[in-house]
Amino acid sequence: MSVNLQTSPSQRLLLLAAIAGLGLCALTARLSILTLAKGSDLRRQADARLVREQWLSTVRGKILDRKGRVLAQDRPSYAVAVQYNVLAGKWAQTESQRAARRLAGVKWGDMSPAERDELTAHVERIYQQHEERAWQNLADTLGISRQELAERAMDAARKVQSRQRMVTDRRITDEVTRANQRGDELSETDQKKLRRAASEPILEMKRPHRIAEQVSDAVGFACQSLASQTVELQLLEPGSDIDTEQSFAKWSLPSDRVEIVPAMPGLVVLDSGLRDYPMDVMTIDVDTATFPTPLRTGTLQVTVEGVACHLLGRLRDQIYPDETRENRIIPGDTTRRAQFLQQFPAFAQQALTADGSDRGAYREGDNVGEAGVESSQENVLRGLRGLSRVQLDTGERTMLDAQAGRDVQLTLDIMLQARVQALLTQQAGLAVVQPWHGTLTTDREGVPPMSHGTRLNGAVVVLDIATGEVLASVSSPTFSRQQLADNPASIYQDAINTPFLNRTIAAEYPPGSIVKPMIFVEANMQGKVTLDERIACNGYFLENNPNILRCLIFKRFGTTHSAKFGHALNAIEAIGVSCNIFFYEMGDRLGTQGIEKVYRDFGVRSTFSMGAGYEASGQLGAKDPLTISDARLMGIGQGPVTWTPMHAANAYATIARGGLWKAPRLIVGAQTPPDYMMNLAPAAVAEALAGLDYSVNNSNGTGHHLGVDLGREPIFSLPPNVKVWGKTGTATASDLLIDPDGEGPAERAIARAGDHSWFVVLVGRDKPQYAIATIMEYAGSGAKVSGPIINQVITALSIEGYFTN
Amino acid sequence: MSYLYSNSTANPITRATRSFVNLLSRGGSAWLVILASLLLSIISIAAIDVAETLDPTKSLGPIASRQVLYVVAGCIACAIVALPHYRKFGPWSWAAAAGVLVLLLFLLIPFIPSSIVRPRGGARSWIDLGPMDFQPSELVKLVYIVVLAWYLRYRRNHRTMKGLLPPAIITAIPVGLIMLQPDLGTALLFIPALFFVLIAAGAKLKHLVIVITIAILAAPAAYPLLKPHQKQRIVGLVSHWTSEDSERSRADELGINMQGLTAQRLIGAGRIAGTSDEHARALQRFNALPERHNDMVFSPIVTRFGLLGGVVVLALFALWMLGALWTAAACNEPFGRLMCVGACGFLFAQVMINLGMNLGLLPIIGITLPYVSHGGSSMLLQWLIAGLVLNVGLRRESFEYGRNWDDE
Repeated sequence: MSVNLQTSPSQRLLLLAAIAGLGLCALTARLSILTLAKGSDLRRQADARLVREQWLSTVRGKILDRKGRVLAQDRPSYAVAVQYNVLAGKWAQTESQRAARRLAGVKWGDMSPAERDELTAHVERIYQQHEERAWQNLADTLGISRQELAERAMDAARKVQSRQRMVTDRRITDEVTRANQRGDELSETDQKKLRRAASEPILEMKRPHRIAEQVSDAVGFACQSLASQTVELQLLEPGSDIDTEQSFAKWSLPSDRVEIVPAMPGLVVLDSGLRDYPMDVMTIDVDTATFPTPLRTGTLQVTVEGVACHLLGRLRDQIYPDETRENRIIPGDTTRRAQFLQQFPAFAQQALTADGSDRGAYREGDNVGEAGVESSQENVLRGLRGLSRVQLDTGERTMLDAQAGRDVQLTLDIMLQARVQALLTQQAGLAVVQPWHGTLTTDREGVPPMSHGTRLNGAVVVLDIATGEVLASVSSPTFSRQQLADNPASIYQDAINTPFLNRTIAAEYPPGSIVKPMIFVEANMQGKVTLDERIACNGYFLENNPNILRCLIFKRFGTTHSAKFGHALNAIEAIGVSCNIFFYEMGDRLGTQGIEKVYRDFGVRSTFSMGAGYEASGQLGAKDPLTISDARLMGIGQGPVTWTPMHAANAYATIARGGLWKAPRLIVGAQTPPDYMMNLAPAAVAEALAGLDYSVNNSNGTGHHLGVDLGREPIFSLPPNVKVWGKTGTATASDLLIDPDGEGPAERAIARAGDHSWFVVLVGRDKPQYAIATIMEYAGSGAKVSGPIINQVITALSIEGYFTN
Repeated sequence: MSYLYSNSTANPITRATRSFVNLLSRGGSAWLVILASLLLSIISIAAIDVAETLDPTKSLGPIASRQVLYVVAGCIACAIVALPHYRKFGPWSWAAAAGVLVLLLFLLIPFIPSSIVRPRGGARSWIDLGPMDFQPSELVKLVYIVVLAWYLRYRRNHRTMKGLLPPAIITAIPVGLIMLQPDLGTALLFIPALFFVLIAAGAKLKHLVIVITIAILAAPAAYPLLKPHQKQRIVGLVSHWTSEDSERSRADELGINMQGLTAQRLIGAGRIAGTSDEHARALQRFNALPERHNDMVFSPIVTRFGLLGGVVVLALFALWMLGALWTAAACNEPFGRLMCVGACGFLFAQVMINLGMNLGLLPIIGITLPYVSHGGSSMLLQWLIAGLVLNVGLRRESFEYGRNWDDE
């Protein structure tokens, strides 16, 4: 049979059969792909719809101090929020436009623009009436006036709008800067395009925003019920303000058409789990009896705000999906969350439900730790949601209880922390430029004078020597949580005082003379100096150049330590009077590698993983390799080396432990870097301690006394049986430069100049128990500024009972 | 088998049996069409019941019960249409055409109260007849088959390019009116049906290929004329197929492909052999597939009976088309032959579009699955078409016409 499609009808019918057959084969193939290749997957997805799941909220763990006092806890609470489009008054407009089109149906296309506008305006009026009723209803439910609610709504909307303007401006600035860097000229259309792209809605515009915080349970439930109700709006209601018969009669629109809308559009009740910081604000009695004489004014009542806020961190309730972070918190980023769960299978086992849902996943309105312990301990504190499941087809219910977050205990003593913070307030007067500080005058041009009463910024760290535990860690200035909420710019945009900066661990300073005992014990360990070796102080280090590498006594008084003592100095005397010549010599003998080893051994270039946020590691060396003159300078703690107050306190604690290096710890039970034992000679350690003893207890020592207007007075007023070892440091610092007009580095101005004032002590009954490091930035003399502060820290330790038993 | 025709032992029952067997054998391949229609109708009732009722122990729900009535009515209508010789339909075809055109125009008259022409989903396609809504466009399909076959039966001029114009005009009138309703889906069915008939009527394949090519090239130009929701569905489908992770394209997230994806999820969930009655009903109910007793009725079938069930449905449609084409081949004269081919063309187009959209190959458009979707007009008219094919199958002309178009 020959195929003859042109002529034979039956051949044509065969062709049609073939076409139909081919079509059905294609359908069969696709059906097979769906049922066979994707079948199991699709069955699983379809089965998932048979289950209704509801997550149950959990409670975040508490943060406690070393004595079990609560520093942070959850308080159950509801917050009422409304979607941005409703707050901004755009809901009625957008919804009514859609409703009008639905009402008109296919006739929409036939209507004239004027008729469309008329219909839309009519529907919009109905929507607006409903919106107004809904707001009134919400105001009644919240128990506030309509006016008050309107103001709150407007405030919330305005905040978002100003944020959007900020984001827009930043996007444009960034883009323009980038274009300038490329050398591109932006045409007018480019700029328009840029502006349009930059003013895209920000994420917050698709979110609910809070209009009532901490509402009572009753109000919370009432709002929840309001949020779930719907209302029918009759769009062509007879007797409404539009005469439907006349205006729209010819379109015969369905007069019984109703739109179902939420009773209160955009209303969301957030289970906000309010975080409470009970010790955030405290009032401390400060007895000034042992202050420097001019400051003795009886007992001060000092209110401190934001106690330990640098360490504790805080919570925020925004989850950003594109957030990436160094540490383990990955709110919103599902990919990283999945990686994290894979990395920690034990945690994943707890966090995942039987069908693989993540009980710890972050959802809209969830709180997440930001900064400090709240952030670093997020996974411990957070807890896991519970899950209630209803199998829809069988009605079977299962319940997985929520797992509360675990508590985190800190080594911190919150009362000691508050007392130390009180000492650093302006009111106490210790951290303020005083006449006897001698920092007023400066002969350098462009350096603003520090007038009396100017606040000084700085930090105090108190360590328990035996355990390495942090008892107090105060950075000043601090900020209150209220201030952060009300005026974050005052915290984040203060370039001089940088209140957000945790100076105890995140700010780097040149060590200055406080490093001298470490230099000595290590130089001895490295065989560069013997215990009884004496080194003459000639006032300056280089025989032929009396203008550099000088001793302070030579610079100030034109004399030398050798002349004063009548002999060359041993290590004890050199530490006690802080002789630079001795330690230039140490630096010279240690050489570049030796001096670097000293600093590395005492922790510079390492961090402690304390879990209180960013830690600076300190710097060692600049861009170029170290030279021998660097090594000499580093012998007295200057040159290309910096560390943090935490490093300083820990270095002294290490000496007190006879060379056992321990990382300072803030969180009880947390993992820390391993301890190690330095091979220090016990006799060298004893000699260094003797030097520290000399420095604060011998009237020749640099840390023994200070001069006030009334004459010399001792720095320390120790409690009975308490002994102190210590060392001052007046470290030459680079100027603090700011950019007053925000236009780039060329215009920088000097905001602060001068020396940092260091004082580090070991203190205890008979033997060193606690290491205290103090630094006051650009404050001048170590003894005069930090001395009285550290004396009061010792008093605070005594008041809190650290010297009893 | 000659004993069948002997009149010797004239027991009335035997005689009735004989004449019935006689009828069966006379109808020949047309009975395949009836068999397939019947089985599909039964499957339809089962599928609608799965889609409609959660509890398998309950008796048929209202929608499935109504479908039973429609099937019965359809069978009766089929028998009625099969009785008179189909040749008698021919002379009436133009009058019938005029009648359905009036109906189509009636639908489009504005100000007809919505109690008579009730818009559904924005389309004025239905006339309210009290107990049942009537969709004239279904009737148009039947009349169109007859008219087109009647017009083309002895002609030769469609073997020229210009001669294709009259059939095109005959098609354009109902298509245009139906598109105005607007019911794009139903309107689209006429074009494949026309091509089927033209192929069978002997139009030059070269011409048809040229026309199809031009139509395909011109199709994008029609895109701006589409309604926004239609554009959205096309864009949604394209983005679904072209996005890298086809399960999670942006259009899917926006819910544009929701209906199609839900249908495919439920189809896939049937796997090879389906799932238990109870489970299938729960899956259908709680996955909340829209139109699952109607345009998406294929999904409950596959959820319940799996790939096997789906293949059975496809095989029944194949059987139907085979029966219709075979009947056409067995028919000695062109009027009957072309009617069978037209019926096959409509069914093929409708099955392809409906299952194509169910399986995610085509954008969602309102088209029922013949014999299976719920609906009185659709079921009745589909059975009428089956009756028409049966009618052709029952008659045997002793002479042949137009066996070869190049005879002259």
